[in-house]
Amino acid sequence: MAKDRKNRKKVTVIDNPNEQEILKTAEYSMMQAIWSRFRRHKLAVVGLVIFLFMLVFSLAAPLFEVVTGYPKNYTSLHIKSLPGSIPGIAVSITDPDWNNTEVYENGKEFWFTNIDEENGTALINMTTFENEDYKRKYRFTLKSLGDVDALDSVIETKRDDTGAVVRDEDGKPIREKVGLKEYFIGRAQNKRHIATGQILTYMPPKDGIDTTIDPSTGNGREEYVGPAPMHILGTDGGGHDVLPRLAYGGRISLMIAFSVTFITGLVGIFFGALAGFFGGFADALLLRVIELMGTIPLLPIYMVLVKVIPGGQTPFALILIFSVFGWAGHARMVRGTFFRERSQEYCESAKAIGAGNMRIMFKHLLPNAIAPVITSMSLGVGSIILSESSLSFLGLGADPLTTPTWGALIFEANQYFLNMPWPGIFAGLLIFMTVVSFFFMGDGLRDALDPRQKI
Amino acid sequence: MDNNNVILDVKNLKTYFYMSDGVVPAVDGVSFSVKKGETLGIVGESGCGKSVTSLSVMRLIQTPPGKIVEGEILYHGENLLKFPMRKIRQLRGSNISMIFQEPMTSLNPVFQVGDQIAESLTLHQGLHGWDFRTRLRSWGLFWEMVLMSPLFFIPSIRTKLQDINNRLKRMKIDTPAWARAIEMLKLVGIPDPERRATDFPHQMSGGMRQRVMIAMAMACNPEILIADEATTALDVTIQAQILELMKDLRRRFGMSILLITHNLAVVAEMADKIAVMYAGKIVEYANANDLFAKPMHPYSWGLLHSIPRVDQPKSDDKLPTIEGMVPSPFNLPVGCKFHPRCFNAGQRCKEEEPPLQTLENGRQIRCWFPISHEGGA
Repeated sequence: MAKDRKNRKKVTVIDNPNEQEILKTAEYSMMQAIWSRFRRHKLAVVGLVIFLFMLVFSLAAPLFEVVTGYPKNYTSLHIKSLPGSIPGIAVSITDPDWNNTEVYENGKEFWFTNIDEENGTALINMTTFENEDYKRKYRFTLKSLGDVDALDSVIETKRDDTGAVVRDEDGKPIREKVGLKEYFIGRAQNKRHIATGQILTYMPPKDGIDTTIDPSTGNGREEYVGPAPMHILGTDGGGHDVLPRLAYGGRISLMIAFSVTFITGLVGIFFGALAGFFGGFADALLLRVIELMGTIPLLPIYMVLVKVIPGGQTPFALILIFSVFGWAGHARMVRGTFFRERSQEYCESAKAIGAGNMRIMFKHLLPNAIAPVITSMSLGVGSIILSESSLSFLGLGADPLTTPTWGALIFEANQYFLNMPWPGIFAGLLIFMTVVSFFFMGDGLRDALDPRQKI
Repeated sequence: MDNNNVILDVKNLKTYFYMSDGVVPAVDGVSFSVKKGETLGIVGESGCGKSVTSLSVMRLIQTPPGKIVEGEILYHGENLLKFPMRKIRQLRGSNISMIFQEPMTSLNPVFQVGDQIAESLTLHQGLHGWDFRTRLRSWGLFWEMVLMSPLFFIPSIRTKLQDINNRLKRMKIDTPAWARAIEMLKLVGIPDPERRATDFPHQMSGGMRQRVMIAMAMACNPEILIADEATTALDVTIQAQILELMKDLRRRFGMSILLITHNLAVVAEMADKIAVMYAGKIVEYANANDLFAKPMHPYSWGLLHSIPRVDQPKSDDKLPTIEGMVPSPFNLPVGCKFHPRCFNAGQRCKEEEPPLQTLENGRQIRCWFPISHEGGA
């Protein structure tokens, strides 16, 4: 039978060249129709391309990691400044048994205890997290110890080219104020330290807050390098390549945005459909709830909830928090469309063949009412990325050390933005492009999904 | 009238709409009955309550504003108004079906027409169509297609994709509900039904869509078919074809038709009995032949004589019309509702509403001064 139909088609094509065109349009499937309507919006196609790029970019994150050889996260060792100790901005540590590298794996903690500023050495106790009994003392050379009186300058012990401490007439080491940038560039160029295997920290420590260091496994990290052939987007404060971190950040940011949009979409569609279809009390109730939610200022409530909920600064908690407050807009939109669609004749005719309410709502009406919701959802993706970023920017989003979202990366980059702007700029650019791509796609989707539009 | 052949018996039906401006008595005490295989035509101007009557029979009146306040709708002697909604839903589509006025908008634009016909079969006869279960069976084929589709530019893969597509389509067409739906499409005279079944409504012309609507309504062999202005939106030739089709189906399946229209030509063609409605009330209820030969109510007379006829000699007289307008439902005249427009109205018409009198031959009329045809009209 299928063969018959194929043959017949062939015959008609030969008979009448126009027929081909007619057959083509007649056999347009729903997806083809949607695509051809979407394609008419040039901006929407641009948005789609940008979005697909972001998707591929995020999914390729492990690839960047392999290519650049730089992992996304700090494999964190924490140097804690205990009372009585001097906050060290950076340490270069020379271990007598440096061969024993396994102790510098993830999950170790450092304390500065016995600090000998004169000799530039300090005794460091190292404890593993896994085993409290395992304690071992190491002697480390501190490359620099200093007070951080401002973000843009560091007081450093002056050294000559060989690395020896320069002393004044009294025999005290000379300490000088060094601009942060020169300081870091100097570190990056100091191959000698790298060769001996050093542990460096680049983040200016605050009181009592951990400073993060990277136990580079012998190979040197180049920190604060601008975009260069080796590091296309430069490296950041952790001596990490910005590219894989952005890609991983994209994964988390997009995952949060899509999950929230999906959940809020489902919830919004469900409540909006009920209210719009049944009207009356259900409708009034939903409207009051939506109005109530409209009175809540979102950013402050997010800030509070993130802190109040245990584990609030993890992606899943963020998804939950955004979802709770995000469905109202979708619900209102669905309600409006259902209100309009329920008086359409096809709804009446679905009733007349004996379909129940749920069937009419979700099988007959929903496909017709979905277009505006999809549009508002696609705009919602953008706004959730923005919300997440602003929370992270305030330091209330996911922890940038373990979960580098785009917003968190900006937050991190913000601390040294004036001197090292590239990590922040690239993260911001990605956020901007993604949000804009969804805004662009919204228009196209609205027209593409409207079943009453011509092909 | 009370014999076993009566399928639908409507008694003193009153459907009111409670609007913010007041109460609209859209249907105000309508009674009629339909026997097996019989066609009842309900005619009247716009807003006279024809459609509300049909919707009341289907229990499709939207309630907040509307409400059936009184009366009985007896289907095989059982009152539909006392049925729970679940039972009504079982009756809708399988025992009582309805064809709607607008073929352009009465089909759901996002479903293939085959799906829409198959749905009522799925709901009422348990035939399974292109549902989750059958789709699951085509899962492998579907993914094969999805995975191959990026390579569509390779000619051999393209043919293979087309082949899979055809096989998927075939699977859909072969499900029991779809097979029956295609049979129905054939029955209502759609050429190449297998291909047209997978069309979307926007790919069909108005006449085709109306045929699809009829196929949808007829799919479960209903006992009563309610055709609410079913041919109004169609042009005359298509209208004739559709009427012919309905007559044919009526003859074959012995169903009763409730034909609701303002087109007298359509009722003349189809109906056995005619109820003329005005302002929510039946003003004349008669056999079709009697009514067309001797309209007794001035309103029926007016309706019939305001149609130009080709079989009468040309005259210079103006075509008679019914003067005035349909009264506002909020402000109905006292007495006979038709008296402000009636050429025959007397003083009594202004004061007292005439009752529905039954004459010989089961003919009913609501008029104080019916037109007498003894001298020949």
